[in-house]
Amino acid sequence: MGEPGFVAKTLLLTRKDLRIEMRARDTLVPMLAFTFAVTLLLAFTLPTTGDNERAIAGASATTVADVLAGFFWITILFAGLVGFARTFETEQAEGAIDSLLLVPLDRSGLFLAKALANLTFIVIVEAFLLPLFVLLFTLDAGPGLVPLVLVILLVDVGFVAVGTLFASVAAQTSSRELILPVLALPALIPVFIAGVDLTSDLIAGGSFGTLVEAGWFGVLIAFDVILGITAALVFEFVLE
Amino acid sequence: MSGFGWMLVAFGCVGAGIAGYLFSLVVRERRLENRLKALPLNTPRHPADS
Amino acid sequence: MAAQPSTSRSSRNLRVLGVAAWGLLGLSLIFIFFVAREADDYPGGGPLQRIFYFHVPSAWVAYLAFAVVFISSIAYLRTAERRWDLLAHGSAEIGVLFTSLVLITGPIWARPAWGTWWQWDARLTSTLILWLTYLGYLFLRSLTRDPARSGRLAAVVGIVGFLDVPIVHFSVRWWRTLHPSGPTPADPTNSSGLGAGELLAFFTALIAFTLLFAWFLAMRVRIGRLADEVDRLEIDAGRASRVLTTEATEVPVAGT
Repeated sequence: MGEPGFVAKTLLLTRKDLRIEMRARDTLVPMLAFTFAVTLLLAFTLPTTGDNERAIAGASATTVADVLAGFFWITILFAGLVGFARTFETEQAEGAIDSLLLVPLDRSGLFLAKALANLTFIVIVEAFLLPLFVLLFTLDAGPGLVPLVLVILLVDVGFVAVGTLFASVAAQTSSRELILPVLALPALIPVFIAGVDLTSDLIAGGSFGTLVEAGWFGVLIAFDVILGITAALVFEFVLE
Repeated sequence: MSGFGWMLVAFGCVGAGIAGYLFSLVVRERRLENRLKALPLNTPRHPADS
Repeated sequence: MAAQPSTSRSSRNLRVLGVAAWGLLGLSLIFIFFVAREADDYPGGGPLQRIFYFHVPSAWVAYLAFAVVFISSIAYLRTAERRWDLLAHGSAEIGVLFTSLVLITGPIWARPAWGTWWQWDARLTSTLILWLTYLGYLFLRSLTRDPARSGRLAAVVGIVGFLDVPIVHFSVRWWRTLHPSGPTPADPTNSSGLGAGELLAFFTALIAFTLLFAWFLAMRVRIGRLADEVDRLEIDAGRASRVLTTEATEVPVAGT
């Protein structure tokens, strides 16, 4: 048995990849960060066994609403991150970042342009996903629908602001697809928890009145305003 | 484990964390000083033979 | 090394700071175990309750460290001065260390006190988010070798990450919260029924941890400056092959 066999060669190549990862650690770290952040989101979304207040309330409808809202937003989160990672892909591929910077426009205007494009993408995805959810899970698209659209748009603003900013940061590094979730997920957890909580309320039969009274509504608006403005302001320092 | 045992674990973790960071600082500084010493500044050594 | 008067004075200050920090830390241990005995009689008190004296100061130092990152990041973006970047980087590292200590000591206390290691509570979650944010920050810094670019990108993350904190913190009111509130530097009157001995032990530990933070940060910044110096000298000496090759691997971003 002089020549190493199929298995031996395969294992050798595997070992090579693992050793590269051991040195660089740039695949496993983002994977773990992603897992961690999604778990964090799920922990809020899904009722835990220790959640006594809800167990006493005993409303299984609330539980279903929680789960549906959680999966809705996690789907959007995944879709969004995949899309946002490509924010500067075209310019990067064509080496056109410099020409983009030569456009006689304030950098915040450039940020707004990129963010609006991303917002359009995510709204189209949601316009596709929301009816799908309503159909598949036979949701009662009644009085909660208009406030639900409002919540979705408010989450989108924060999501797109942070996502676009960190996509531009990631585009400046050597491993841009990987670093985006690591940076964006922790920052996005509050806005998504707020989104899940409010969406779940509305699915469970809430109306515009319950929405405005919910504390998370304020958190969501604060997040949008503070992070939206900050992202537009610091964007100019990313591209230089 | 008893409450006292857990308390020891907690204090041990804090101590290990602080000591570990201090150790890493010392190691980093030592390494930099070694690199500094290896520089051909004072010794008339040729830069090529590194 | 050249013995300039300014460096020798700053290294003496550093030593004084270190001695003060370690001395107070030792003193706080004595206070914690031999003076602060009030809680021993309470149900749920006793030895485990003493974790609090290191848990809360760790949390305070973590927040302080991330606030320093926030302020230095803004200062760095405005001035582009290297020292602000070194300060932000060092403070983020120390902040992650102390956040880790908070996240380790917390569950050890919570297990017997709450009957669970972890609760998805506002305070706990925001701490976890902070930890993840600044791990990402350090990860980003490890990816880019060019100091100016690395500094700019990291500053952006440092600013945005910190703004997340008050937003999460405000949500405490609407969140199911188990976490007890105690005395903080911002609100020392909220004693939660702590006795005089306990307050003494607590504030001694708090000051000790704060000095420890300052000491760590000063050393970390000094090391950062030394690293810059060594890098520069190595490039001058024409031995920069290692530095230059790592630089070169980053360039193809534009060329792909």
